[in-house]
Amino acid sequence: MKRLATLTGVVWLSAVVGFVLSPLLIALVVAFSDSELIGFPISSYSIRWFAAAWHKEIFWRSALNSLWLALAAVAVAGPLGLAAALAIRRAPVRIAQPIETILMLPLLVPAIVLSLSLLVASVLTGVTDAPLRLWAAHSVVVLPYVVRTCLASLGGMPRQVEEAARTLGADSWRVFRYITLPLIRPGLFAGCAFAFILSFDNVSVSMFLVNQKTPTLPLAIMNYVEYNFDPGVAAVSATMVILSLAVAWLIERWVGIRKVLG
Amino acid sequence: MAAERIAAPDSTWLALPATLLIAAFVAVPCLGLLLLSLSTGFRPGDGWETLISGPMGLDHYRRLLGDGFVLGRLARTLAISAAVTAVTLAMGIPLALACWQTRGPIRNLLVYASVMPLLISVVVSAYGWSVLLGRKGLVNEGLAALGLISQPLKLMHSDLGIVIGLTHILLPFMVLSILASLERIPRALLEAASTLGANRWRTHLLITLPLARAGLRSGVLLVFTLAMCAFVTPAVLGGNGTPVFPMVIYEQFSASFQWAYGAALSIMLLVVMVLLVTVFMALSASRRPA
Repeated sequence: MKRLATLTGVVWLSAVVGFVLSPLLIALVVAFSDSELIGFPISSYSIRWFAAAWHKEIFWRSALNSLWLALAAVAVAGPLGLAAALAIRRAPVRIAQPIETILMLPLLVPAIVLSLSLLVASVLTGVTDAPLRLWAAHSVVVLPYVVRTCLASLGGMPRQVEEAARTLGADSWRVFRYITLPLIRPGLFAGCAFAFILSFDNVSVSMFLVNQKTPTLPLAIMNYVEYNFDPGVAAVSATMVILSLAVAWLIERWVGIRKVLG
Repeated sequence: MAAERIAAPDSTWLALPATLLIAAFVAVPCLGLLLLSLSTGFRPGDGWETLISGPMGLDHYRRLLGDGFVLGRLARTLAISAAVTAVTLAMGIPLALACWQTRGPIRNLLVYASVMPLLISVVVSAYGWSVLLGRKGLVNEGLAALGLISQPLKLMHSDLGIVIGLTHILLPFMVLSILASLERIPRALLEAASTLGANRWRTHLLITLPLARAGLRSGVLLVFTLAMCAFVTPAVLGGNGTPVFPMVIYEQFSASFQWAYGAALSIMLLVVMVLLVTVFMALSASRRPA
């Protein structure tokens, strides 16, 4: 009886893990197939679809768009999030609490409401430049994650080290530069890396704000699969999966992935 | 004493840039959306001046309360979200328990598997599902090869497809919420239970899960509200004529250019969410005081 129960548990767990990994594994497998159309079983393998995707202008052009956008969003959210985390950590609770709540707003407002309201705002004010509004949207969407990981890192740092530095005569900037920053650097890096991948992967906010002629990579994939069913898009997806895994590995090395996800 | 003399200088101003960023790009646009939903004279092409000085009223809200299609899609979206929440609970509880109780490489595998969907673009996951679930997808071909079905099942372009896709991307939120709660439970309690003769199932049912109630609750809330607002996965895996509620909102902006009505629908989505969260919190708190 006991063994049966354990067996049921193990089977169910493996099914759940299989369920979670199956769409990612299938994209990886299909990407290496050699045939014109997606079909099973896959008879022979090659990397021709990676080459084909590389030669499709829309993919690398949109990949570059996504890359610049993600870097620009991190360039805003990183410093601003770090500064805000420092302020929250030092301020008395009655001030810190409301600030933290305000900074977490982008997590509470549904993506569709956030992006539609930005679309409306951009049209009403006449600032309809797509890169600009994407930059604004991505910066606010990733900001909470940077704040959260920096706060977690600051929480793990004993206050006495900063006090000791001040006692020894260091001014605020030197305390930050030589004491605080080196101690929380892994958290800052991990938060920025997670922000980067969230921005790079984002669809739900970009969808309404993007200029259809110059899409981001996820949107280019989405448009492509509407009319094509060749393994080329699987190759692009596989590349994105590998990129995500690489970033996840970096985060794991710096602080552990659980810290970033809250 | 000494600590006071060397206290850190006031640095609250450091939060100012980030707060301004949120104010400018979240708070103000959302207020704009609220104003838009109340404005009765707004036409696409008008500037923000019309929004502030133009006529106001509840016309759009009155209209949506009588709009059978919109209310029907809202009900359907709530049903889909409930189904997704139930399935993520059934998958998330064992997964979180297993992450909590195992050690070493197995634990790493389980934790990685649970967070993986968060790290992968929803477009990639949706694409993977469409390869698996399509008419000529791996699942249908496999079942046909085994002789279990003669007609391909409609796994995609249906509400079932939406539930599968959303369960996949939202499972991490459930697992992480439960796991965060589990990690606060002292392990001695489990030893006590097993010393007293409870088997593993009874221990989880009577001790672990009630103690992880806070995590279960936040997991349910997170998954349900995120499922209600999701539209990329439903757009790829759902049926054409049966959009989920966020899709209905989107159509007001893209296809029918009824911006003010779309804004009213967005506000309605927010109101329904807040109501559900409030009711759920009240119900789950009163059942058994902690």
